[in-house]
Amino acid sequence: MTEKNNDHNLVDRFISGDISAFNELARKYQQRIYWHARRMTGNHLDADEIVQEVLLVMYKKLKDFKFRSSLYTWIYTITSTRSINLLRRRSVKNIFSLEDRLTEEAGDTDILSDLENKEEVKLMEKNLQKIPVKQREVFILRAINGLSYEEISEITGKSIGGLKSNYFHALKKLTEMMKNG
Amino acid sequence: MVNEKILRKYIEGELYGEELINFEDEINISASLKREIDNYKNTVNNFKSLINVKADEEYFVNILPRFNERPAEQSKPLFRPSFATGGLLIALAAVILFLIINNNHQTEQITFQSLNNDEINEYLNDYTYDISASQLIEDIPESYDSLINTMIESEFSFNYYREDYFAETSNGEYLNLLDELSNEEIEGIYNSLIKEDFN
Repeated sequence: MTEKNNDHNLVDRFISGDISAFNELARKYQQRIYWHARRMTGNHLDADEIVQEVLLVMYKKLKDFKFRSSLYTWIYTITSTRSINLLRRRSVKNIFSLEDRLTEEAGDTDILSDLENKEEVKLMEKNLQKIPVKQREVFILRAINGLSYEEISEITGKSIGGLKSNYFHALKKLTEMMKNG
Repeated sequence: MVNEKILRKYIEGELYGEELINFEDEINISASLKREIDNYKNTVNNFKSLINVKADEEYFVNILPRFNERPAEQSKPLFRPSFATGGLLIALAAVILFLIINNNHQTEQITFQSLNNDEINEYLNDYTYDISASQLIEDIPESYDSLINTMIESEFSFNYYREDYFAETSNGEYLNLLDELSNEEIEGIYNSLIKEDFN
């Protein structure tokens, strides 16, 4: 059974009232949701908040999902949108807040497993936060998640030409940052 | 200066045929271009490796139970405190505005009992000239209603069959009028009437 058919089957079961089908879908996609949100927002706590939000949206809206696109692109769309909204809210808050953002980050619960290159991973996550959010979104979906431009276009609603341009700008900036350490 | 579009295509593996051969020739003769391309490729490979980063499995195990244990959604209040306050202020402003406007237009209610004889005469002069009943209703200010009503009820009787005059005096009032006249006045009226030609 293909992934799409399997998803279709789970969604149908969920719509018919089988909650275990929803749980199966959630387990299947929760890691993708978490990592995409984490790379978009740059920290665990925000990513965790987004995971719960996305599951809630899935729970409420799955009955309206018509499979015009793949389920995972729909889930990426929700995750991206939620992440961008949270970042916007956060940036507005930061303008008016006297609190130091670094203090907040210090209290972040890090769930990364013990890695040899943990510092390198953290540096890359930090650098991602320094590029514009639209470029970040394309770069994450393309370079890290390995999606095609067609799929990214479906997720973001942007033209493929624009996405390619955004990706290359992101790549240039990140390369410059990596070069400078 | 290398064309960025070609550079991007090359990095993404979208360059083919003659275009690819020409660009590779260019890379072979330019150490800086080769270094630039290597840097881009390294960046992409480094970020690609993030897909293999693992996190605490316990966290993922607990996502769903936490979701299922979320507090039942509370129905949202119809009025948020800010809306309620705003609504209250608007209502208050409307009441104040109404009172101010109403106060400006408020006139003293005139009653028959509150007027002295001179004032009654003044109103009689103003409102007992020959007018039709419909004009009377149209022209009388609201504040005079009670006064005119009282006067109409006590002093006049309507003649609804005539359009030009609204009142006529009753026979009893003629007799009262005659009682109030002195003999000299009666004689004067009598003499003047004798001289009138009524034909």
